Amino acid sequence: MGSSQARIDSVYAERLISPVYEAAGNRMGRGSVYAEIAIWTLVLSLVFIMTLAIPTAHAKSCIALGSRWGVPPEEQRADAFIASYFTSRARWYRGYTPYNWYGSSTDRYHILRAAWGAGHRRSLVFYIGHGGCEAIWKWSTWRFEMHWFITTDSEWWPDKVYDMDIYHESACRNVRFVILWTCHGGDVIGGFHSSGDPYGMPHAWLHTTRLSSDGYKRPDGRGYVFIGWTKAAPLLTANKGEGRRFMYYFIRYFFDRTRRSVNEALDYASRMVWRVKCFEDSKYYKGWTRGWWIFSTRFRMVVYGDGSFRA
Amino acid sequence: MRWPTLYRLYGLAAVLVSITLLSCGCCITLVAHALRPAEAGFDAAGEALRFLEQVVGLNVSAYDVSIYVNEYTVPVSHVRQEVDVILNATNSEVHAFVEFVDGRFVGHILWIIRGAPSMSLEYPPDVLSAVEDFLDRYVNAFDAAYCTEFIETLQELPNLENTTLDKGNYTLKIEVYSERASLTWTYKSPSLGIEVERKQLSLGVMLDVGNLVRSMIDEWELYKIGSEEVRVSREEAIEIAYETARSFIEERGATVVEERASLHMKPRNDNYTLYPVWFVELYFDRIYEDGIYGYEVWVWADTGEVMYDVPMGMFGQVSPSQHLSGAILLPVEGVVALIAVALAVGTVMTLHRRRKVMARKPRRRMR
Repeated sequence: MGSSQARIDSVYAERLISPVYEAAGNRMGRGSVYAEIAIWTLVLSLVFIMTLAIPTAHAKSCIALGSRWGVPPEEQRADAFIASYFTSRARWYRGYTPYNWYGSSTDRYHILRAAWGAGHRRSLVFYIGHGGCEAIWKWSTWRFEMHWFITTDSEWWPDKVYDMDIYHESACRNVRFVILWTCHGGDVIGGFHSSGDPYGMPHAWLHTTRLSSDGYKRPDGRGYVFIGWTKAAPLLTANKGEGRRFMYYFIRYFFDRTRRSVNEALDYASRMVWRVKCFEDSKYYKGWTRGWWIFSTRFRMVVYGDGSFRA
Repeated sequence: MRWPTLYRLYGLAAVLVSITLLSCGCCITLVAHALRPAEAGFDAAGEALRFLEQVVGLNVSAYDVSIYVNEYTVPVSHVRQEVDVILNATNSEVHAFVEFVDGRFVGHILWIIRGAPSMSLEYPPDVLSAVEDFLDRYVNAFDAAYCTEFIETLQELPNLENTTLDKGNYTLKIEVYSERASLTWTYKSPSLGIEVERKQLSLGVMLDVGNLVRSMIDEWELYKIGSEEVRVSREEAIEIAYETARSFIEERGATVVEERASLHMKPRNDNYTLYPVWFVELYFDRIYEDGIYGYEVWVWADTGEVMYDVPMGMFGQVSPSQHLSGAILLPVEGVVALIAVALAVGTVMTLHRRRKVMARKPRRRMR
């Protein structure tokens, strides 16, 4: 009885188990195993790519550029400090990926890379160095057209990177905020010449001309902002280092845990440097003239676009 | 499960719990250090709210309030506290920044982010009365009796207009714009005859938001005068500046064609004590390719020591481009010069033609 029961059990067990194994064994040939491995590899690769792609797609970058060409040594130290402070503060307080390219890395390649935010969807750019504007002869329209440029880092004559070069790299509109501490950078918002070439640094960097002409007093709320200088930009060390202090306080308040706007940071910096009530009362907003006779130069800081922008 | 394994598990759990507790402790300490809500002996956050409620007249209880206090040490051993207040309600958001130095109120500013601010006080429609009321509240709430003199100067004014009043040891400057007005009382040094910009009381009024006093700076009592004695003359200061800038000028081969010197009051070792200083500017014969056009030197007027010196310049004036080699480039000055030459040539030609035409016309004979 006992042995027959044991046999029945083993038969049941065989019926219960072996058909499954048999079927599985039949289905899963060597090819199926390879297919399964391939599917798993594909799934894992997709997961891996997604883990890489998701942060990149939503990532934020802050980029500091600066040319040392024709810059006195003490000014170079101040510029390097501000560039470093800009990126480190943005990194620690607002989680931006920092790219400090001040100095030898400020070449054509890196300037153009900065124009598309180094591949990040939201990017903040700071540039300091020599810049200007000049009329360029266009054979297509048989006339001179004005273009604005910034310079690369160089020991000898620097290379010039023009607004039209930058414009062609900024179509993704990743760059949301630009401080261009250079002469003439904020002369105009820009547009297109009759030759079809884009002009103007705000237009080039932000890839739009729909910017409030006074982003401080009338922020347009579109989330793009440009800070620059009309005509001349002072050295940071000038007038007892007020530019350095202004930028220091601006960065300190802008990249804060309370997420302050551009306007709030401008007001704060103005209070700290000149002890005035707000940016509107400051020397930088009102502008000033320096020099003498025909060499006198007008300095004025401008804010185009959205002064309510927050990092 | 065997006992030794269980002990191991308990041990591991204990280690994990301790690590978690330690890191939490560190975080709390760091946050507490960064956000110090109240310093020993002086409650900056509480004082900031009191100022916003009692002096500005904001209805703080209508908002959800977030407060952050930053503290800095300023030379020499002064404590500067900056209070960020975020007031958030359904239909209004206001940000405020209030500053204190050594427990003394020194200023505030408001940013109206969204909607109209909820007020517990009503400002009078007349701007001067609104400012007077504001200062009265400030005097009472923050024990600023020295402001009563400034309130009296407002009572002398018939209405709000651009003006500068000289009251001997201080000036009152009023600037009126379309949407705002600015009133600044600045200390005037009797011996030097210059305005000491730092020693001031200043108010910014929003005319389009019911005369709300948006910002204030009160550093009248904060800044002390260390010395008003000028032992270094203007000429001596210029000479010191030349000495300081000599090597830079010689290296560059520049010529100084103009010199300027003006007297200011600036802090020296102590951030809130002022001393006289000469600001000397030496201008070169031209603007160089690297944008340098001069040299600035700050010379203490009481000791003759150099406080600060740097080249004066700007981020402009660059050499011809190397990038667009095929293009013809012309600097802005060149375009202006070309236009000027064209206009001049045009004018000369027109005048010449007119003269010719006049010469051809027969002259009338006099009868």
